Amino acid sequence: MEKWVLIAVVAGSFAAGLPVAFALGLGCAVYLLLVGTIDSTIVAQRMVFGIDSFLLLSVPFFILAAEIMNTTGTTRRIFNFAHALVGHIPGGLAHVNVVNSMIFAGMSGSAIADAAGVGMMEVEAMERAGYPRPFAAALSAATSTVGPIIPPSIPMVIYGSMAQVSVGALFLGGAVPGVLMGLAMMALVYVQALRRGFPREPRVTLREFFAALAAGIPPLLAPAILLGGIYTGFFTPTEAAAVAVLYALVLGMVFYRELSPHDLPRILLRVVENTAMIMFIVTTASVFGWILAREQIPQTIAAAFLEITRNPVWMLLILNALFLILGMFMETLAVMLIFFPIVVPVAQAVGIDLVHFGVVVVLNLMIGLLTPPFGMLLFLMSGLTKLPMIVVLRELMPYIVILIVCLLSISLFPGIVMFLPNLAR
Amino acid sequence: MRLVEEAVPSLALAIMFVVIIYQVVMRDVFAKPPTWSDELARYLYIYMVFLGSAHTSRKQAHIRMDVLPTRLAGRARAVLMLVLELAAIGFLVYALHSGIVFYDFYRRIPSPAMEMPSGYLVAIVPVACALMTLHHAALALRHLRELRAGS
Repeated sequence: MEKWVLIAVVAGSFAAGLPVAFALGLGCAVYLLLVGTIDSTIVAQRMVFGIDSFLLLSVPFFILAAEIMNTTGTTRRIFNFAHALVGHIPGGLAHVNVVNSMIFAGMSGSAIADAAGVGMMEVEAMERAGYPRPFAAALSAATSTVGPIIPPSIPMVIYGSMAQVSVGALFLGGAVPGVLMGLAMMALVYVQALRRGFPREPRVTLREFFAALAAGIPPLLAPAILLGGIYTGFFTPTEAAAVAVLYALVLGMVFYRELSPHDLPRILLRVVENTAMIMFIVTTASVFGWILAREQIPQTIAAAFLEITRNPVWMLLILNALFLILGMFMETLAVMLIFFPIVVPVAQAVGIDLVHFGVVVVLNLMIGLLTPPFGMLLFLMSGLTKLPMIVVLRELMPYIVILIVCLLSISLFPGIVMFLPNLAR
Repeated sequence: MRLVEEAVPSLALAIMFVVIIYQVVMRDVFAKPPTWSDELARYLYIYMVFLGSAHTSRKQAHIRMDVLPTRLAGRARAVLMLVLELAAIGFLVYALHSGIVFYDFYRRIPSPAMEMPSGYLVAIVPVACALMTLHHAALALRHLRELRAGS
């Protein structure tokens, strides 16, 4: 009985607009009061030790590295580099948008940070060149989804810590699917550019190309350092994140000389805010997870799933459909923290590789960032560009479709994901 | 209060960064990994998250689904917002109580690596919950005043 009250309180207060963290906490408090025999210290204990993980420490560092790069004009240099690389193709600036997001993804691990950091810059550049504003806004939202697929990735860190899977393997697993998403979106841009007559940019001279390349190479090295360091055993993912911060600091202060120590307090506070928003949910979610486990709810639901099918391919398709629907209605992190303890055992039981599963689910949830009624990237870009959501959504539809095609491909062909991690094993 | 909620967690983040870089250098360059650095960084992180959450409460920036609050207007909205703040306070008071009991029970146990009394770590739960309760109580009062003014 108590467990139904728990679920009703969490779902009801969340839908009414209570912050996710408090909705989970309130449900747990009501549950514990009803049961009455459980020591109340479990709340404080789970809240503290739920985030007492060296792995989760990487979250603020990945955010910090991206913040420093944004403040120091590194972001602008990446844009210039992408411009020199693909600007002359039909639909030039739209391709630049895709490539720019892919390179930026190599330093940042959050789709929202990508859209907030470079989205508006991309929209303004495209609008100046004569692209329709809704198209530019939709494309910037869509391309931001590669952020957490190409390593590093905050959602993969959280998945890795919940499912006990190597974050290094997850990062490597995301690399090929991330490039695939980028190429798929560029193919779509190409078709749209020909049909709608989007402008192309003049081809740059060789000298301009090399100048942009020289300025763009340091940021391109960031993901190489990260993955190389993790895979040679030189450092753990968290240490890699701290090294990425160090790298961004050196670039900003010594190489580009655009970062002054006076900027640091403001940057640090912004990172504290962004981290606390994510991690406070983890504190109460770990109380919630403890209660779910106590009530054996994951086992019950897993058994129900296994009744439907034991075929790994069908199971993956069913779980994909489930997560696409959840992603439409709920915030990504809330979906992960609430549903991963339930579905990971299911995936494991039917023999889906948990690295493969992690990459698939994260890509799936990134599509959820684009879909109404609750799509953070859609909200963000329509808010930044002051366009009605429906107008942006209309331009976004083909991109949502092509991303779902990517999702299906990596679901059905595990090799796309597992190729690199298997090579490194 | 601002000092505790803004300066302390920012500083904790900066120290975490230094400690982890120190750990990498000591291990990979000098082959002398420090025993305390991992634990210190984790504890600083816990402080950062809890105090940062209090800051987030002040700024009303906790992640939420605001479909219903934005659809409502006037009196109905004020009532809903008041109820939501009271619900948040309900949880926070429970967590505050839980945190105090847990602190009492756990404070003398030394931490594994630094052998620091765990009280310093777990005290952050009641402290942060008390701060957040204050912020949400202030918000609840504001909505109450709106309601009074409206009627």
